[in-house]
This record gives sequence, structure tokens and C-alpha cells, in this order.
Amino acid sequence: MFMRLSWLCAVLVGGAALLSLSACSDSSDVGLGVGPPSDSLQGGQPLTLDVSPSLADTARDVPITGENARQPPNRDAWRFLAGTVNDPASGPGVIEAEGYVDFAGRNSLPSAIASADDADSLTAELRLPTVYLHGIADGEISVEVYDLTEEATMDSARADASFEADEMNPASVSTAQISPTDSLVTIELRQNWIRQNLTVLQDTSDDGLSFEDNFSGFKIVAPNSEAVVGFSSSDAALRLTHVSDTASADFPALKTFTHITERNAASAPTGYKLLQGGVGAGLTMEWDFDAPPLDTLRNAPLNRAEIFVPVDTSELNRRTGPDFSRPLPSGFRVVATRHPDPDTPSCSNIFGVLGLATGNRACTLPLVSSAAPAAALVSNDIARPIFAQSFRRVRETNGTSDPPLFTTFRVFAADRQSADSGSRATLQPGLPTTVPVLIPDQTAPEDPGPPRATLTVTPL
Amino acid sequence: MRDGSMQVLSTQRFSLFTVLLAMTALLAMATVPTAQAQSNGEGTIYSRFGLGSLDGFSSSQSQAMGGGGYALRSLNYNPNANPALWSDQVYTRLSGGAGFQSISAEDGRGNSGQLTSGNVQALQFNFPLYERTLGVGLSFQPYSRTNYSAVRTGRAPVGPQKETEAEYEVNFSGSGGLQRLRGGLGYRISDALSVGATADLLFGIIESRRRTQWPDTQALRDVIVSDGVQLSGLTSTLGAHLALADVLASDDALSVGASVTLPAPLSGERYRTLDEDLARDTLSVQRGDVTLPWAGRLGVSYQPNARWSFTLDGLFEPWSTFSTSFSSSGGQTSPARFPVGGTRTLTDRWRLSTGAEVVPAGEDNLAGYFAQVAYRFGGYVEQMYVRPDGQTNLYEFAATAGVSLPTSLAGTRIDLNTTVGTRGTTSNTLVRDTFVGVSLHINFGERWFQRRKLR
Repeated sequence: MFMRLSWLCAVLVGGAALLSLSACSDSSDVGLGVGPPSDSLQGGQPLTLDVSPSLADTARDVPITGENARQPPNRDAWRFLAGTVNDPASGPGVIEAEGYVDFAGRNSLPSAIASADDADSLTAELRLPTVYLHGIADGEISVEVYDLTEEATMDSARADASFEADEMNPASVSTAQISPTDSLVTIELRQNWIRQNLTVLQDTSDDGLSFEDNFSGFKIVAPNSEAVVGFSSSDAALRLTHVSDTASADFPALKTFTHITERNAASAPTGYKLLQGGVGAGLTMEWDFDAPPLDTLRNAPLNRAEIFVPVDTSELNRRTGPDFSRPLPSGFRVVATRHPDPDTPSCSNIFGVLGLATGNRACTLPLVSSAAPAAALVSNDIARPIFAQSFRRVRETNGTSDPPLFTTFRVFAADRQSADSGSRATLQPGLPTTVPVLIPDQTAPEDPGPPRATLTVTPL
Repeated sequence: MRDGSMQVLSTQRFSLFTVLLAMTALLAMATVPTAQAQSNGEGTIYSRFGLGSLDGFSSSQSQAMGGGGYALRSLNYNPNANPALWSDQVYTRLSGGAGFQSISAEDGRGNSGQLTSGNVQALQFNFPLYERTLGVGLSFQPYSRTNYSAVRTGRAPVGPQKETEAEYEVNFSGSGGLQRLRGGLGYRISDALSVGATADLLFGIIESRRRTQWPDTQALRDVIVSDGVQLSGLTSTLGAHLALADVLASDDALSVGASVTLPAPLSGERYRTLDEDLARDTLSVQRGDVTLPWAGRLGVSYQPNARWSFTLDGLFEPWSTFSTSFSSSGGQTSPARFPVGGTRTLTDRWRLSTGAEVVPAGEDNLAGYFAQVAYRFGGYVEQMYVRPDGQTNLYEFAATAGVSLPTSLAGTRIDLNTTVGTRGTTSNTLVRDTFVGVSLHINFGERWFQRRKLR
């Protein structure tokens, strides 16, 4: 029996070796031409083509500009804006921003401040680190600070919201001016304001909650300025200082908000579509799957797809004077609206990723963050399912077909702290901004070209 | 007494059962890479046409003698090509083998490619119902095999920036083939005449793939378009064998064998799909029928003495009568035409082969080991049944050789065969293959159902 098994093992090993030798192949193009021309080994060459959508500047999505440091989501590097700007890229459009800030209470104060009986022994100022400047940079800006008349719910408020302020009695001194190029600006508050609010400012009860209940915050405006200035929400503070003791106490910002309005309607230069930050003016793109060339690609297997919305930064720069400062937006936001057909899959089913749904029918698409500010780019991971599944749906099966997944794609400017913040960050609302973005339309020259989907397909 | 005989029987069954398990494992190893055939690797471009490369394996003995042996009687082999030879059985026999083939393909421009493939050649099980009178045969083996591979490369722009390019490969490949499951009987009517008949089930999937892939980047998805045809149907093979003794000399033997395989009506469907495995998306399906032609085999063998055997065989298959109801392809989603190029790419197949075997020891069981080894050689010429350009007949020429090693088990031999040959031509954009193949076979035979008498 042992002898039989040894024979058997040897044969099996030999047989397995013969089969495994087949891994030594080296395929070549030999044989490609064998056969009749109609049935030769051909095809399979990939083809890349740009598919331009129809464009409309009809998208409106007023952005979130309010933030509360104690409420989720925690937005790092948030800011609030104040000022007015007429950007040459926006045509006649004038953007006006009004900043709102409320402060957190303190559970203790330096004894000199806590025991001060006389408001004249104290000074108060707003200390606002500047992180944003859009407009004419030289010269000083007159600012006014007013008390809010009631507690404002700034958390996640949108830019078209507003909160009532006592604009008859400014809290700031009448000569308050700031230099927008300074890294830190201070706005001195009136002695009369300190006198009226001394008790509230000295209230440290309930770990400062009592102060927060009785102090509603400020509204900061600069109506006659030629620039919009942005202040860091996390580093803004209300500072009380004892005149003789030099002791000081900072009340850190708790809530901030920016109200943004458009005084004159902005218009894009010829050959461009305009994304207007702050007021939420965006670009609407639509791809027609029943029109060329998409109707011819229904059966074409898709290797790769990207949605590319270029920004003509050189045109923006060309429309900027020597004293005009304009940051380029470090990000964008693309929101796709699902077709109302009840069989349209959900965002998570389409992309296999949770957390993209926005409202009933919208999916926020992750972007390639590093493509900004030159472009809003939807990567292959996201764009391919959009087109591949849409092709599959519109392809007729048994005489019927379904509509494509999405009806529109809306693009908005959404500024970020930095461009390389990662694709997940591009799902979040952008920082408050007032900058315009110029998108070349279909009449644009080849570089950078109009918005487009770039599809690489392998025709059947 | 009964216990003793049962123990002997149990031991014998265990050894054969072990072999059966081992061969099944070998078969499984070969089928893992391509679930539709016992083949692995890449072979001739001509397997793209018709039903693929036809596999006429009959027995390891006949393979080393040119591939015929339709009249060759042997106690150690049960040739598949002629069921009449199954009447001549003493042992219960299990046979299996695996082969490897290397092909160097060359076209008219001087380009060449190297292709290799491995495959399981057959699994055969035979046993006598009445010794040397009535025998049963069962076998499972490839009927045809598709395993071509060719690659085209290029560069294509990708992404919104026009200057960005990526290299791509378009890999055309074939896989699968038809399998044949055969069962039949051989019966000796008289000392001179035997007949046999089989029922053959043909089934399988023949698939051609076109894979566009990107070797340098993961950012682009591969596209796989597959055109397949799934067929199944029944046919039958009838055989006869005439054995004559003392014809040219005393103790010589002359045999004439013939078999006919009836036309095989197969039905099934062809399809076109996108992607592979679980993500496969069926684009279209079409049902249809094909009819494979009949096949006729005629052979002569002559054994002047116990040491020498000679064979001369011929085969004819009128593939020009092949018919199909699958219509020509229409739109983009329709499957590719079957067979590739239409029926005009098929022509009649014929094959002539000859071979010889010598066992130096003859019937002397006491001779030295190498004298008991069987040495075989042969050759064949074949007009192939495919004619890809519709006008150029293709031929295959090969020389075969092999040794058959006896083992300590009477009736069991291990065979090592080799084939060297060429097929095709480099004219008219065709390809010439030069191939070398080796195969290893085990022919395991034992007496079953025999009670040993205890003294």
C-alpha cells in the first residue's frame, strides 16, 4: 500500500506541476488580425470625451453663517464679517455684511474689576483678530457697534436672517475706526455703555450663565466702507480693563453670525457665470441623457468619470485693482438633486457612502479639495456611479427605461480654512464669504474650458 | 471465509478509491482558474474559431502513437474513440492525466508570442461486467477547448486635462469549451467481432472576453465585455472491431476498428455581458440551436508479435455541414456572431495518423524493468476544421512519443507522453504555432469483485 501511495503522490505532484507551468505565458499582439475583418479582434479602445451640461445661474442656496461654539457641529476657524464691497468681478453688485457676536460669561473676575463701583474706572473694547479682507485695502473703516435688543439664536442661522439691534444708541465710540490690514483690530466702547451694563458685566453668578442671559451681544456694521473684513470667531473677545490697576478680563466670543445682503444685483461678465459667495448665488448644471452625446453612450461601459467646474482665476485677477484685495475661495460645494421618480435610489445607495443626503432629494457630493481654487472637481469615485447608474437606468430594458439619477447639479462657492482639508470637509458648509467666482460658460476658450463631465468609455 | 474475502475486497476498493479522490482533486485544481473548463492558461489563437480546439484524446497509449489507435486492443487501456474496444476488459480501470503545452506563435510580420496552458485531459472509468466479453465505460473529458489570448496596447487621454494620458491594454481572451460525459458498453459478439455504443452528453460554455485594463493606474475601471454561448445536447457513438489472427505470420494479429459519432444537435443560448463575477450585467440573451457534424473513424492495427504494435488511422468530420440557428449579431448589445466569422470559417476536418509501440520484453514478466517499459512513437497530419479567413485551409503536423512505465501493480502503468508539432501558416495574416506538449497519465487497474479462495 505504501508503495502504491508513493507512486500516486509522485504522479499527482507531476500533474500539478504540469498545470502550474501554465503561468509562464507571455501574451502578445500576435493573432489579432486572424479572422475575417468583420469578426477580427478589434475594439476595446477607450475614448475620452467632454460632455458639457446646460448652464444656468439660477441656483440659490443661502449659506449658513451662524455658529455657536457650544453647539455641534463644531466649526473650526469660523468667522463673521462686516463691511461693504463692490467687487469689479460682480458688475454693479454691492455686497453688505453685518456681523453679530455674543460673548460667554465668566465665573470670576479680577477683584479690581469685580469691585469697581464707578464705570469710569473701567474701559471696554472689542478685540477682533482679522482673518479675511475683501475690498479696497488702504485707508481706515468706520465701524459702529450696537446692542442686540434680545437674545439671538445665531446657531446655524443662514445669511438672510437678521436680529434686531438698538441702532439709536451705539455702543461704540463715535470715532471708532479699524484698519483692515491690521491683524488685530480693537473697537472702543463708550463709557456710557459701560455704565449702563456695569452690573451685567460684573455678574459672575451661575458660572457666567447669568451674564449670558442678560447680555444679548453686538451687531457690528461698517455701512460706508469699501471692504468687508472678517474676524475670527474663536479669538474674538470683549475686554474689560481697570484703568489704574491694569487688570483685565476677556469675555470670549460664544456665538457669531453674519447677515449678508446684495444691494444691487450682481451680473457676470460676458462669457462667464457668477458664483456669488455670501448670498448663495450658484450655478445650475443639467446633463440631458436623451441628447447627444449622452444618448449614444447608454450602452458604453464607463471606465472613468469626473465632473469638472473650472474657475477662471486669471480673469478674476485681471479684474482686480492694485489696492483691491480678494481671497480666492478655497473650496466649493456641489449639491445634486435626485430625480423625483420614486424608484430613484437614495444617496447612500447610489454612492455606498452615508452622510451625503441633504434634505429630501439632495445629495452633497464630496469634492477633490486640492483642486480648489482653480476648480470644483467631483472625483471618479463619485462621478462614475452617477453616470454609470444613470446610463443603466435610461437604457431601455424590455421596452421601458427609467429617468437618470439626478436632475440638476448646483455649484456654490464654499470657502475653507485650507484647500487640502480633505474631501469629507467639502460636505460641510463653507466659511462666510463675499467673494465672487467666475465660471467660464460654453463660449469659453479651450483652457480652462466650460464646466463639463469628462467621461472615459470603452465602446461596445 | 466470507470475512476473508470481504477484507481483500475492502482493501482493493480503498486503493482505487484513494486514486479516485486524488484524481478528483487534480481535476479541481485545474478547474479553479476557469470554472468552465479543465483548462488553465493560454493557447492557440485558432481556438477562437468554431467551438475551439477539438480534443480527440482517446487513451494515453494512442496519444503517444499519433492519436489514433481505433483498432488497438490492450488490456491496460480502454480507448475512448471506439467503444467496441471496451469489450476487451479484465481490470476495473481508472485513468486520468494532465498535460502542459507551450506554444510559440508567429505571424507574417515576424512578431511572436509565447503561450502556455495546462489542462486535465480525461478522467475515465471502465470495468468488465463479463471478463473479455462485456465491458462498461464512463468518461469525462473536454470535447473542445477555447483558451486563446492576445493583447493590444495603447495610450489614451483621460480626465479633464487633455495632456493627461494613461496606458491601456486590451486583452482578448477565450475560455471554456464543451465537455463530454460519456457512458457506454462494449460487447464481444465472437472471437473476431466486437461492437460498442455510447451515449454522449455534450455541454459547456464557450466564452470570449475583451478586457480593457489600465496597468499603471487604479483610477480607471477595467471594462470586461464577454460574449458567450452555452450549449448542451446528446449524441451517440457506435463502434465495431474486427480481430483477425495469423494473417501474415503465425501468432500475429490484425485488427480493424471503426466508429461513427452521430450528428449532435445542441441547443442553448448565447449572451453578451458586462463586467464579471457577481457584478456581471447581462446585456442580451438569444436562444438557438447548432448541429455538430458526424464523425467517422477507421483504423488498422497490426501486432506481428508480442513486442511490436503498429497502427494506421484516419478520421473524417464534415464540419462544412455544421449548422446554427443563432442569427448574426445586430446592435451593440447583441452577442458576437457564433461561430466567429460564420460557418464559412469551418471546413471538413480529416486526420491521418500512424504509430508504433515496442515492449522489448514482450510477454516476459521476468525481464528487466526497462525491457518491460513500452516505448511509443507516432505522428499525424490534420486538416483543421477552422479556416479563419474563409479560404486558407490550415494543417497541423506533429510527432508524438511516449514511455509507459510499469508499476508493481499488475495492470497499472504510468505514462509520460510528448508531442511536438506545428499548425497554421504565416500567410494571409494568419499565424503559425509551434507547440511542444508533455502529459502525465496514470492508468490504474485492479481486479474487482473477485473472491480469493482461502486454502
